[in-house]
Amino acid sequence: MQPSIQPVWNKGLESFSESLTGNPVLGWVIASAFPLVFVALFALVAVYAERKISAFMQDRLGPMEVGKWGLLQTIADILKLIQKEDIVPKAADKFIFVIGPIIIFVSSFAAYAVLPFSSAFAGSSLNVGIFYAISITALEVVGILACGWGSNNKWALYGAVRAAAQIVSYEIPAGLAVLVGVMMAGTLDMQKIVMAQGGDAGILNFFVFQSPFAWLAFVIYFIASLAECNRAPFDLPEADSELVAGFFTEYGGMKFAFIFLAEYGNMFAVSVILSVLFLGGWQSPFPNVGGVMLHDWTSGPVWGIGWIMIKSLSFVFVQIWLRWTLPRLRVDQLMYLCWKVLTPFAFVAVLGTAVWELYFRQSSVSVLVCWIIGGLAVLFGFYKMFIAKGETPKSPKIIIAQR
Amino acid sequence: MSEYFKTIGDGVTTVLGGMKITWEHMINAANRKGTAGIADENYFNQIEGLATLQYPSEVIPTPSFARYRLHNEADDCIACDQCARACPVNCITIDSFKVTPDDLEEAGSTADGTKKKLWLPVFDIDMAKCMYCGLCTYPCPTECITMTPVHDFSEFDRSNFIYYFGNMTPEAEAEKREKLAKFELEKAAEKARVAAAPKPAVAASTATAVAPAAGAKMSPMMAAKLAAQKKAEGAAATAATDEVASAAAPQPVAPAANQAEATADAAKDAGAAKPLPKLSPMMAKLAAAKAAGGGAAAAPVAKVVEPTPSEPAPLESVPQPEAEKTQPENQDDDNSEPPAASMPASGVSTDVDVVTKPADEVKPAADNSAAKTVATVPVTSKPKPVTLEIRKVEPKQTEVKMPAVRVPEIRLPEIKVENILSGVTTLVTGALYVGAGLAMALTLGLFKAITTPSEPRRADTDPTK
Ligand code: SF4
Ligand code: SF4
Repeated sequence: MQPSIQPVWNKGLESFSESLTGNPVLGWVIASAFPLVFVALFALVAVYAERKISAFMQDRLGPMEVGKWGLLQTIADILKLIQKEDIVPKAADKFIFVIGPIIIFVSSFAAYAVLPFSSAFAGSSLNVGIFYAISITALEVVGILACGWGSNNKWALYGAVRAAAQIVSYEIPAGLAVLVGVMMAGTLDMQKIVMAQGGDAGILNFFVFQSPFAWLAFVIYFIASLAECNRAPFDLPEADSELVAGFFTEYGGMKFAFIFLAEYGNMFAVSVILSVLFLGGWQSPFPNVGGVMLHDWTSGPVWGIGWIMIKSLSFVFVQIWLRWTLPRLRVDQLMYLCWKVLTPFAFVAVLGTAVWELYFRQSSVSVLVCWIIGGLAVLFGFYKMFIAKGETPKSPKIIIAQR
Repeated sequence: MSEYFKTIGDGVTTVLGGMKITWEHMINAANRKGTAGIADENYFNQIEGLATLQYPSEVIPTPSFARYRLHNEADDCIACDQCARACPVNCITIDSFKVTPDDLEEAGSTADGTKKKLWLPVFDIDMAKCMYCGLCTYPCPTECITMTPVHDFSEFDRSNFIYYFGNMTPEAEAEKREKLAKFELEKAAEKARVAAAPKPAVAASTATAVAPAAGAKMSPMMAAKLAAQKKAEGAAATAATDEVASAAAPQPVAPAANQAEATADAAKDAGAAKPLPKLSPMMAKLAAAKAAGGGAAAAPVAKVVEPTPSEPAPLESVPQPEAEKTQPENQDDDNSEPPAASMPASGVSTDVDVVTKPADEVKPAADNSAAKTVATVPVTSKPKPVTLEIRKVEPKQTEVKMPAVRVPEIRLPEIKVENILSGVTTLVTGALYVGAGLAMALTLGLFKAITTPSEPRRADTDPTK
């Protein structure tokens, strides 16, 4: 179906960079600069979006002063951060203190090397791509520990220790959920995982619609990835209300900016991984119906970038949405959720997927069953969110009307 | 086990319920709650939408009866002092003096047609002291002192809270005061001459007895006032000499029966001088009237002042060390003349010197000049030529400052070498970070190039087939 692009994704970085410049080394620099610029721009926009969305959810206006609707607010913030004095506390372990943010940022950014942004652009079509991505991202915990320990500050140390416990724990359900996608694709190469979800059926070829267990794995991975990004409701390592700012209490200026950048980079990276594994990555969701070749018309390298952006950014939105909805978990609740809920269900998903792949995947009846289950789950969710009346607190309108 | 699934179910439904709430609020962000104030009918119906108001540009209107910053429309103020007296915390300071009859036209009238009979050089409101009770606004006969809706007027310096509403320039004030003093002197001289004609008598002994008493009585009150009021204005002594003399002087001529009362009045006059511009002239007049009507007691005044009309009143500013100057003079000439001359002259100016001065200005004079000079008074009994001295008021130091819009200071950050250096270092650090990221990616590329030979894809997972 995509014969023209096959040579590109098959050879990954080299062919891409060579086609850019004809020179492999210079091409690598350019190819790796793309995601870097992208992460920086994304953080710029995402911070603004997060502030605006959170404001709207809390009936506020959010930034309004810098530029129209405060559009230039994050640029002003960056300028402020750049101007700030680069302080290293006297009592800090200087080397560890300085190396911490570097490890955090590099490990979060390094994941971008294998993320397939389009059929024609993936930094590297590594044959162990997804494995590399989740392991290099997990390296972040080393940086967080370095920050917390090097700061020589009790809040920072608490935050770092919490982060270590949390990230290591959530690696397990996250890894198992990833395994579900890998089992369905039969490969660790992220580009090939995306290819495996293409086809005339469009959206129905996405893994999440191919197996009821993929739904489970999808939800588990999303929750676990929240915890790995230290996003609310799993923001115990930062816990502003308890730990000042957690592991980056002592950081300011550019070092803080890099920790921040890493957080947003990480948010986007896990969203891309999620959409690659379960939602078809850069594949178009439209099916080919008869002579109307919607799928083919909306496929291609540039379309691909659009699709994966739409998918990932909507996950980023849900991450923001959740952050401003849910209160922070207690440490014991965090561990309960990980070990007693997510991990057993992840095992169920892996086992179920194995059985499903062996016996049911090929039959259209079973896929139909899967769609029905999935559709029911979606309907239930919508019902709960938009229709159901119940324990949700009464709106002030009612209270005032009774006066 | 069912408990376990129930917990999970609860978790899912409550999370979804929460997400529903936040989603609804986000959708409602298209609406604003608006700026309907508490007085608005719609106030309690503003439920949905963003609650934030962008304060300086959007404000909920303040109710018409709100009590915020005070304003005095000085052109409508008749300086009646009622607001200052109503104020529980004494934050209004008024200084006023009479308008001479020929100036009544110039003084004009207020918006409601009341004729203005007092100049208003000083009308200060200390908004730092003000407690916004609004009591000052009720008694105002011309409704010129009002509460405005301005409530956002914080300052970096407390002294900026003193708002000056007085509507005279220092020059104009000095001119008008001089004019008034001259006028009053002439008037008093005229009156004295009329009064003196039938009664040439001397009551020196009464005066002797009373004068020190007056001095003694006054000083404690003044001292108390001094403690209360710490601000001394520039030309204190000059004004003070006149003032004390004026306060003290009527006593010698008053009849014994009225003496105590008169003294009390005078002391009150001098002591409470500052906030009672309207009252003080009246009291002074009262005292003067008593003095004049006191039969024989009035004589010295008559005697002394008699020569006045013949002599042109020299316009000279009284020098600061006047007390010292007059004193030796008294001693030189012994009981014969000038002390008497200077004393009643300023005594006459009681009536003149309607104007009030902060009491502390009065005090030093009370100590040295008044008591002593008064003591010398009784000796005199002969008519003597009088030198009339007209006090020249020195221009006040306070500028007329209108409490209009105050532009906040804009402070630019200092440009320091350290700031620049730290900026450069952070930029370099940033560059290093970026470099590290790039290096990582590069290494990865190299790693990939070295380790992965092109390998055939697994046929069974190739969706392109
Ligand atoms: S509002 Fe009250 S405290 Fe303020 S000046 Fe008027 S009377 Fe005095
Ligand atoms: S009460 Fe009114 S008219 Fe009288 S002094 Fe005060 S502001 Fe002026």
